[in-house]
Amino acid sequence: MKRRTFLKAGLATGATAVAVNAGILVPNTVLAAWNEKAFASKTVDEGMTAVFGASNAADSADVKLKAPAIAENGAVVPVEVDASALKGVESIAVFAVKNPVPLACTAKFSGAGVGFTSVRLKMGETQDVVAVVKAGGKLYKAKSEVKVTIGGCGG
Amino acid sequence: MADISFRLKAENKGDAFEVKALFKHPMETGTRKNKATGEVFPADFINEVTAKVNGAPAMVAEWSGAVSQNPFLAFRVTGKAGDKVEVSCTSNKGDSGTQTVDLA
Amino acid sequence: MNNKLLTTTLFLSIATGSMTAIANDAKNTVNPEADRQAMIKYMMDMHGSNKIDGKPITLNDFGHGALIFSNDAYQQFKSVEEFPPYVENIDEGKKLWTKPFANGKTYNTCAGLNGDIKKVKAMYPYFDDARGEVINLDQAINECRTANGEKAYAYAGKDRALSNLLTYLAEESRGNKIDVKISSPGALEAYKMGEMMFHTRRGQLNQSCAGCHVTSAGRKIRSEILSPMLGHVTHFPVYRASAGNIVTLQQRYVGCIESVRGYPFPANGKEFKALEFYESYMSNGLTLNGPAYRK
Repeated sequence: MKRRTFLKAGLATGATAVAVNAGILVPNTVLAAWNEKAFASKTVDEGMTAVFGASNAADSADVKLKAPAIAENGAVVPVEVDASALKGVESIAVFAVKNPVPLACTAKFSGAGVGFTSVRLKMGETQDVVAVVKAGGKLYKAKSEVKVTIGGCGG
Repeated sequence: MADISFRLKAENKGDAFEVKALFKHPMETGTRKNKATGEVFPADFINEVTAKVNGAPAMVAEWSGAVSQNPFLAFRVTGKAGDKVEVSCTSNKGDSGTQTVDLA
Repeated sequence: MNNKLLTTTLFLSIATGSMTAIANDAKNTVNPEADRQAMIKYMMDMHGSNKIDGKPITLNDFGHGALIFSNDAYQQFKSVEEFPPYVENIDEGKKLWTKPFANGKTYNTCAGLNGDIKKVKAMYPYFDDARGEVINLDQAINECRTANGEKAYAYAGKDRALSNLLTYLAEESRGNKIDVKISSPGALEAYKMGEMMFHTRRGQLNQSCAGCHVTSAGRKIRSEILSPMLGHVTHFPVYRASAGNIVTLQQRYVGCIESVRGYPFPANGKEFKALEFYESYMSNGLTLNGPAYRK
């Protein structure tokens, strides 16, 4: 939730408001900013730029993308990205290129976090899933086509 | 704000631990229409999931409404038995939830 | 293709004797164990070369239904089963199972439900000689309810309570082998009725269970791969992603007859219980692996 919305909601009153404004009390929900621009992007390139600051990525076999060839159910498509073969994985972004907003989800790693993410996505039609990984300052990607017979976006 | 309920479990994969989460959430994209009334169901989806190991940030996931209803997330962390993993989530509406699991 | 169909049908007729038994009941030469062995041989001959996870399937893998025909579909199943949606239903079922009735008693005080929780579902279905009918777990639950002054659940109704209870009990009995006994004339009659149900064409689409789930197992009906009858009952109740909810075996029987545009028999009526009895017997030896996620 954005900070302004949090404060508007009237929760941060009195001493709490002072503490938040002073930067003393900074719960994750206030600090963490959901990448609104990225999640409004209409193309993979736009999304990549919003997430990584660049849209050029090298195809890499070290980005192990696991997605079905034919989705059993377009509303529940298991997608797994294992980038642990790469050194210094900073983040992963998953795109469903033909979804209204191609960027489906991202994951940023630090500390004990390993370059791996596994989610279930909604896919509206047959399309490529693209996994983009930032590792050691460089971008790598892999893609896989998922056939979808009945779209998973619910009407 | 409403509480988002979810389950956590951790599995030792050898070189890392895999933490799996299963959330209970409608994950409304905000574009789905009510066929009877023609009105759009308002967006209501988990947009952020964070994980900490023994208090130190390990992962921040950002989601769109394209993540499935009652979503699943698996992530991996290095660590040892007894390490405490805390997972928190928030939605675009300001609902949130937190659970912890010990690595075993 | 036509020759293969003819050979298959003839093989089944000769092996099971069921076609002739239906045509000429006076002979009464039904031999369930011979039928089961013939079905296993047929299924392994036809489909045993399918591979999942890179390995040829085993007899027990028939418990995965149509998934044995597509490793891609099987992998999606495995993925979702890592943390399946039905964990919620298991929890709800457990709550219902342990909650006392108004009179203070619980389900496990009823005969037939009072054994080891890890084996309750594995006891069903069975043929009750004294009562002259097939008893399945759905019925046992409801009879326990009415015996304790509670209202019975609808077998295919909107109330999720029965399906949640069945989901919980299936989870607890996971790993048991199916072991249906036919040791009386009454049980044999129930088997024969189930076998007849399975082989009779019905509905506007004029299909029998066998036509899809024996003859055409592994082939597609529109975009769906047809499951083999062997292993049909092992994984119920299922969580159907398309329905967003649990579907029990009895509910599936109703749904399937509707799919062939026929008027379904009542859920948990004599006919569908006989069908459950027949299908369960035919899967004797296979491992209970429900509840299971399906598309």
